[in-house]
Amino acid sequence: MDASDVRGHLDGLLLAVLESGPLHGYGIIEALQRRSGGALQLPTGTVYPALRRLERARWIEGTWTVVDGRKRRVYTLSPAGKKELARRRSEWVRFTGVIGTVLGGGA
Amino acid sequence: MTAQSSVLDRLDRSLRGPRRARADMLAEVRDGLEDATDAYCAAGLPPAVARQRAEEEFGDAEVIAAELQTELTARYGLRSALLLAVVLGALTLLWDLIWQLAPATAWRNPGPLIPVLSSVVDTASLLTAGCGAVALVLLAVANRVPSTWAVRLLGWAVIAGVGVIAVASVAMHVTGVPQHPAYVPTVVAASGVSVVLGVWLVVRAVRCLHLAGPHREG
Repeated sequence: MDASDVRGHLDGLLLAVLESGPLHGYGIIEALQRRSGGALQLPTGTVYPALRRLERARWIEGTWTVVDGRKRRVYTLSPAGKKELARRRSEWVRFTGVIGTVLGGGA
Repeated sequence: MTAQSSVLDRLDRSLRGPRRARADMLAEVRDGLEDATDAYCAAGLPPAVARQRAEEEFGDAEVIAAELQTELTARYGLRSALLLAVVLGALTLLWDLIWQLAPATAWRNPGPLIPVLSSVVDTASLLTAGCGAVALVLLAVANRVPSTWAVRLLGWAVIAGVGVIAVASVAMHVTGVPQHPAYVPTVVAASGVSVVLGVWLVVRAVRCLHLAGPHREG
């Protein structure tokens, strides 16, 4: 699955990854690859502007913190981000349901 | 030059905007590249190959730079819109206070033009503040409206608004210069503060237009 398949869903994926706890940029990239079983192969650089966009929307909060002895920018899902994630999840379930019904064939 | 530094160099050359935010973004990307290199080294790759792999997986630096630039521009626009609200509010209060506290004898007979010019200043201030508020809201709902539109709206609104306010204010002072000797320094000082803040707003507005120019979309 390449970057063009993920386009439009990246924000939701990032929010979902941060649901399990605060992570820094590369930690988020690793979590995306781990949770997708290595199927998500997006350019790692695309994550950084997306994180800034989500931060501007107040869905995540970024702070500089020392992690493993190194200063890193760590992101946390905000309460508004949790709501947005829930909204995107229900939208996704509805979308896949409709597409699945059509693609699945039948009458 | 290492493979990693070439990505950072390209970002460094491309990005324009608030110095601290820009440095912040570059530092985050540098950390990410170092983390990726460390991970590949830990997986057994030689450092030079690990660095090269980290850069290859980063993607097209020009594309990433354009996306980061959109965020830098939006950030500058957000801050400018907030400053506009503070400065316009403070100047309105300042001049209301001066007009209210002035002794009745402080002003030359204003004639019919002063109330008209005063309305022009008030209306221009309100419209400019309104555009600033719209830009603020558009920039806050990051994913729904291209942020460069909002920053351009803000830039043009400030230039037009401050221009109208400046012309009307000068006209007011020409036709209604204070006569009371004790009151003149107050008006001169307030005018000086207003000019400095007005010029500052216009400089930020021009920067907004430059950052969000037609060559930048997003």
